[in-house]
Amino acid sequence: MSADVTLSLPERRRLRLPAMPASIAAASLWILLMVAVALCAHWLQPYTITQMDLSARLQPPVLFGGAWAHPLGTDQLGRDVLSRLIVSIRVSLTLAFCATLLGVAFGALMGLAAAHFRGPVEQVVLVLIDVQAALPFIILALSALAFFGNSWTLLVFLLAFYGWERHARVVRGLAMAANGQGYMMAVRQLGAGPGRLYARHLLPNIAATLVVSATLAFPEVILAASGLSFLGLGIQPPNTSLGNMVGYGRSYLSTAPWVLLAPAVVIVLTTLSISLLGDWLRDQLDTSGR
Amino acid sequence: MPLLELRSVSRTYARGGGLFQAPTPVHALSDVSLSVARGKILGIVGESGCGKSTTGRIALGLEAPDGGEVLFDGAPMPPEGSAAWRALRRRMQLVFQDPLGALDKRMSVAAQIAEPLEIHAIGTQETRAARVAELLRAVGLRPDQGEAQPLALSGGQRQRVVLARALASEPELLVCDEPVSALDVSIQAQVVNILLGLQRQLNLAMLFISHDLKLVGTIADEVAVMYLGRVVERGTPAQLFAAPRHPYTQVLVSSIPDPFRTTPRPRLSGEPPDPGNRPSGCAFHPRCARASEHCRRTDPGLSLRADGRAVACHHDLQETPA
Repeated sequence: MSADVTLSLPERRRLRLPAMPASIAAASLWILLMVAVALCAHWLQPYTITQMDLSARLQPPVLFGGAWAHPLGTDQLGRDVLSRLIVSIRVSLTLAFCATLLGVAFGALMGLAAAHFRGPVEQVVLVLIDVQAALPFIILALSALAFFGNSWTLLVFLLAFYGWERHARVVRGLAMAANGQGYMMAVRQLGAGPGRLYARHLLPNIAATLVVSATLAFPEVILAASGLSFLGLGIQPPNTSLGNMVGYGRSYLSTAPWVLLAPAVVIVLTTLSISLLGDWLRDQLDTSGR
Repeated sequence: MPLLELRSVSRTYARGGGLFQAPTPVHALSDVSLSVARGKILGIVGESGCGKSTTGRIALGLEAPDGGEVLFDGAPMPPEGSAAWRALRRRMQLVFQDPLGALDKRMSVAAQIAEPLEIHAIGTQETRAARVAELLRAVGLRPDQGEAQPLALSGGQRQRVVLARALASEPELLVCDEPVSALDVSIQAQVVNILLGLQRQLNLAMLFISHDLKLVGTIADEVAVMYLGRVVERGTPAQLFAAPRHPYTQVLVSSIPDPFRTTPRPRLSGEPPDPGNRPSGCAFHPRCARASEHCRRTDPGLSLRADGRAVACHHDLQETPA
C-alpha cells in the first residue's frame, strides 16, 4: 500500500506540469527571440534604418551571393534589410501589444457592463458587438485614417477595436455564468458591491480564459496592422514596420525577393507561434481546469 | 416581535415557453407565513422542489416575493442590491449547501473570512486578523489553516469556513440551506454541534432548511413542513413527532427508521407532483390515503388548532383517528 503511494506521487506531479510538445517549445523560443529583439532593437541594429548606400542597392543576402556587410541584403535605396527588420519587429510588436491590451480592457469592460446591468445596457452592447463583427475592419480603418490622418495613437485605438467584440462576448458569457455560481452569490450575499465582486473575485477566476482570448487575438492584430501598412496607411516612412516593408518590397518581388520575404517570414512565424501557443494554452485550461 | 416575519409570501416562476407558446407559471411558494424570534430555530422540511430553498432566499431578500411581504426586525426588506439591502447583510447571513461552490477557490480561507469585515468596515487591519483567527478557532479550525486554499481542505472544514465567514459580521439571523446534506454522516454531527453551540452563544435566530426531519426535529424550536410551496403543518418538534396531524407529516415522521416499530409504515405512493401542474383542491390528495371528493375540490388552507399548531387538512388526524 505504502509502496503504491510513493510510486504514484511523482506521476501526479508529472500530470500537473504537462509536457510541452516540440512545436510549442519551438514557438515559445521564437516568441522569446522576437521579444528580445524588440527590447534590444536599439543595440542590435547594425545600421540605422535610414542610412542609405546607393552604391550597394538591392544586394542579395549572404547565402545568395551577398556580403557579410549586409547579412540579409539591402533594399532599393541601399538600406540594410536586417536593421530595418529589427526595428520593424519592435514597432509592429509594440503596436500589436498595446492594441491587444487596449482591446481586451475595453472588451472586458463592455462584457462586464452587459453582464452586470443586463436589460437595455446589455442590448446596446450586443448591438455594438454585432455591428463591430459585421463591419469589415479594413474599410473602417481606411475611412478613419483617411479622415483623421495617420497617427500612432489613432492606429493603436483602431487596432484595439479590431477584436474587442470577441473579448466582450467571452467576458459577458463568463461573467453571466459566474454570477450564477455559488462563490459569486456568496460574496454578493455578504453585502459586497460590484467593485469588489468583479475586481477581486470574477477577474482572477476568468483571467486564464481572457489571457487565451488575448493570445489568439494578438496575431490577428499583427496581421491587420501589416495589412494597413501594406496599403500605405498605418506606420509611414521613414519609420518602418513589418507590413510597411512588405508593401514597399513588393515592387522588387521578381528582382530582389529578399526585401519582401524577410519581413513576410517574420510575420508568418510570429503569428503562427502565438496561435500555436494560444491553442495549446486553451487546451491545457480545458483539460486541467476542474 | 419576531426578528424575521414572512407574511403570506408567494413566488411564481415562469417556466418554458417558446416563440408561440406562453410560459407555464410555476408556483414555487403560495401564501407562506412564517416567523422566527431572536435566539430561536425554525426548521423547514419537505421534499425536493417543495419551495424550501425559495423560502430561504426570500427570507434573506435575495429574491423579492411576488405577493406578501418580508419584515426583518419590523421593517420591510429593501430591494435586492440597494445600499440598504447591502448594509442589512451584516445582520443576516446564509450558510450554503455546497461549501466548495460557495468559496472562491483562488483565495485563501482567511482572506475570505475577512471579507465581510472589510465590506462592512468592521475593525482595522490588525483587529481583523485577530478576529479571523478567533472565528477559525470558534468553528474548530486552527488559525494556521487560514492560509489554506479551499481545495486543500476537507468538506467538513470547508463548511466550517463558510460558517466562520457567515458569523464574522455577528449577524442576528442565519439561514442554513441544507448546511450538512453534502457532508458525511460522521462530519454532519460535528458541524451541527458547532452550529448549535454558536447559535446559543450568539443568541442567533436561525432558519434551518433541510430534508432531514430527524435532524431538524432534534435542533429546532419549531418545525414547518412544506409541500408543493405551502406550509401543511407547523408545530413544535415534540408535537409533530408524537402526533403528526397532516397525513404528509405522518408519512415523513414514520419514514424515520425506528427499530422498535411494530405497526406497518404508511407509505407514500406516486411521484412528487410537478409544481407547474398543481393538483386541484388539496395538492396532496393524489398521494393521500384518506383523500375524499371534498379534498379533490377544495383547498383546506392552513388553520390554527387549539394546541397552537397549524394544519392544512380536511381530515385532521386528531379529529378523525385512523
